[in-house]
Amino acid sequence: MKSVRLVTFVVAFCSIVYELLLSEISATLLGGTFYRYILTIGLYIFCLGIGSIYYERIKFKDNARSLFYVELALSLLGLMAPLIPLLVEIGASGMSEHLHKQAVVGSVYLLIIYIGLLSGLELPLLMAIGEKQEEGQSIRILAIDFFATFAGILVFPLVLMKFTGLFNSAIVVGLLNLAIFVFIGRQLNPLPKRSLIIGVALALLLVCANIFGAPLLVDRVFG
Amino acid sequence: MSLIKLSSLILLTMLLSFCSFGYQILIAFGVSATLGGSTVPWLLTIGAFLIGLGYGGFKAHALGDEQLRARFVPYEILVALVGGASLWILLFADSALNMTSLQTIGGQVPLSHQIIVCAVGCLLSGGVGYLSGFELPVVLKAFDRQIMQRYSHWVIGFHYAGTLFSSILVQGTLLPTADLLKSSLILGFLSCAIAFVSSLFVAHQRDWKHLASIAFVAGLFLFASSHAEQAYQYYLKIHYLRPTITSLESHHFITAREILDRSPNVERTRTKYQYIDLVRTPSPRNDQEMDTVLYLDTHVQFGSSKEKIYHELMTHVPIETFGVIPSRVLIAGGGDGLLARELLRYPEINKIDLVELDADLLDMAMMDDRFTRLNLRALENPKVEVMVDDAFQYLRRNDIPKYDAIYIDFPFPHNPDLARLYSREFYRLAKRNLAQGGFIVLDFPMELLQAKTGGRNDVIFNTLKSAGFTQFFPFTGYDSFIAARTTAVEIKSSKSPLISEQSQQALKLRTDVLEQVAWDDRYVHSIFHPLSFGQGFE
Repeated sequence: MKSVRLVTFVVAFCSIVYELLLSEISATLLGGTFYRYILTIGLYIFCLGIGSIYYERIKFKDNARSLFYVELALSLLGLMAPLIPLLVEIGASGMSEHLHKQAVVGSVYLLIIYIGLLSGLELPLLMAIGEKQEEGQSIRILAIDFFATFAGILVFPLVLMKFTGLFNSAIVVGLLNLAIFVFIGRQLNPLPKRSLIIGVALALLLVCANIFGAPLLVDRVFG
Repeated sequence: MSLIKLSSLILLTMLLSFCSFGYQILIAFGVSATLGGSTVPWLLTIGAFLIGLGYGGFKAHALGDEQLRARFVPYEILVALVGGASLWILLFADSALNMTSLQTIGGQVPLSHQIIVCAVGCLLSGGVGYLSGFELPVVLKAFDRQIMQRYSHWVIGFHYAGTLFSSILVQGTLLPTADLLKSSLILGFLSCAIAFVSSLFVAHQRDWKHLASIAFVAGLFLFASSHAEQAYQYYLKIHYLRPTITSLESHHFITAREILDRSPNVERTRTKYQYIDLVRTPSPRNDQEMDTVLYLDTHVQFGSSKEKIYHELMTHVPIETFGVIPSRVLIAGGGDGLLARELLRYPEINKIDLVELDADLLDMAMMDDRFTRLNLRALENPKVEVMVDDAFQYLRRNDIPKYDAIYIDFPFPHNPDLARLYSREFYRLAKRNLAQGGFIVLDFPMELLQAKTGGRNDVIFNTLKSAGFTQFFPFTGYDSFIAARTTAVEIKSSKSPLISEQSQQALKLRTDVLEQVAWDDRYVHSIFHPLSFGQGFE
């Protein structure tokens, strides 16, 4: 696979930003910014660990292909991430207040865990791909992963939230992730044509949903 | 036998990650608390931790088993020392900066100060992170190869579970109970215990040097914990009283210390949501009287001598100016009860609903003499219904009545949680719950001298406008307020019989501010696209 190091950087960057987006959403809907961020990061680190364990247990046959599907899933999940808690917020408004809050909390944390687990598969896959290409590259990939995480922690509040806001940040990062999975997919042999087309179509649909649906949902939730 | 070994290794690795992420949470919280709440500095310390962790792990992979095993206990002792002392170092740095500058208390923290404290935090986090990066590799490689070959997954899994437990327990239980200085010492003791047990049983090295170091560090922490209260008081007093040191001569320090020892203690209460500080200072009016000033998260709210002017102006000026006395009023925030006291002076007001988030603040306002002397037990008046709730969530309810006036009495938007209460979404909810012809009034730090484009003034007025408010009435006393309506009325005179002479003299109408506002949708502050309210308010 070409440009493994670039792919690692982008992929790790996107993963941490998804998690930070979800902490921001949970803080907005539920309150307690510091608490939400710390809890999300703790969950993220935990899921990374679980993901890497899971990787050991499943012997992936084709690392690049598995990475392709992981990134496709992450791209779609990341684009859904801002919308789902809002939908649950509206959908569960019929329930009692306590249950309502639990439903929103549940939806946010399920997303955080799901994205975390998928992200946990990324690093071992990339390290294996890198190691196969060149001996000793896996360590460099690990290092790039960490730097990308650090970059994400800086860029999210200082650049993304500041200039594009919550929904547009999700769109930007989702599209970035889309570009990556298309890039990976095109190098696979045989070409996963159906998955590529469906993946891109769904992602673009979700982008539109974010652009047009988000203001509607926000109005509905906040009167 | 191997089950016992496995369980003890799992416990060990869980405690290791629990402590290292725990220090990280404490440092992040310490940075957030000393700098008044903005997000970026403490997020940076977490980033530094991750970088350190990665770099440590990277270095560890290059070492052989023997080298790893040899480093385990010494590194753990270092983690205990640096981690346990981390908050002391942080608060000391903040105090040193406070003593060498002449900035206003309870206001904005200067940028250079923020950068230095953040840097200290990042160094501490990075250091602890680096040392912690060795933990997992050591446990995996250097202790029991046989067990690891079969069960490494469990060990890795529980290692990361330790991080998760830490993220829940340290901020949920440890911090609320032990507060800043003692929390880091408690974790430091835990790390010492781990180092002690490891050096005896696990690392196969009963090195007297290690044991001596552990004893030294533990002893140091024991000594520190007995002085923690006093140290914390010094920190708080330095923060609020600012005895400045202009040179490094010893007599300056002695004088400063005398000042600190002589002044009354700062009463700090940690509630679920904020730090409530009651500071006694010489009254600004005459040096003989003592003023009690209330701070929330180190930001000044009011002082007992000047609060009357503030609350009289905020309450009566809008009513007088718009010419209608409301009959049903909502106070959002205002848990000190002082606005309620002023509102109760109108017999025409039938019902006052007060929604305050912090139950502890309400308790204080209702039980503490210093508060009840000021608010005249307004919160216990039968016309006042006190509710403990988030004002934002309260306004979203469908079963609340429409109010003729909504008084929004929150602290200024210093942190992201408070900033959400100044958003378009919040003001839209307020508008939705306003009766026809009703008004809202909020206290807001407007830029009164030089308004910047895209600064606080532009943000607040554009945000209010996008929420549906059309008429604005800015006015000031010693603080600034904005009254807003959805439908315009003719402005009457603001001279109210209920405002004392002193307050009347302080009052200034500031409709000139509106002429300088740049009306642009770009400056709308939304919870989904937060804008900054200017330096020190993000």
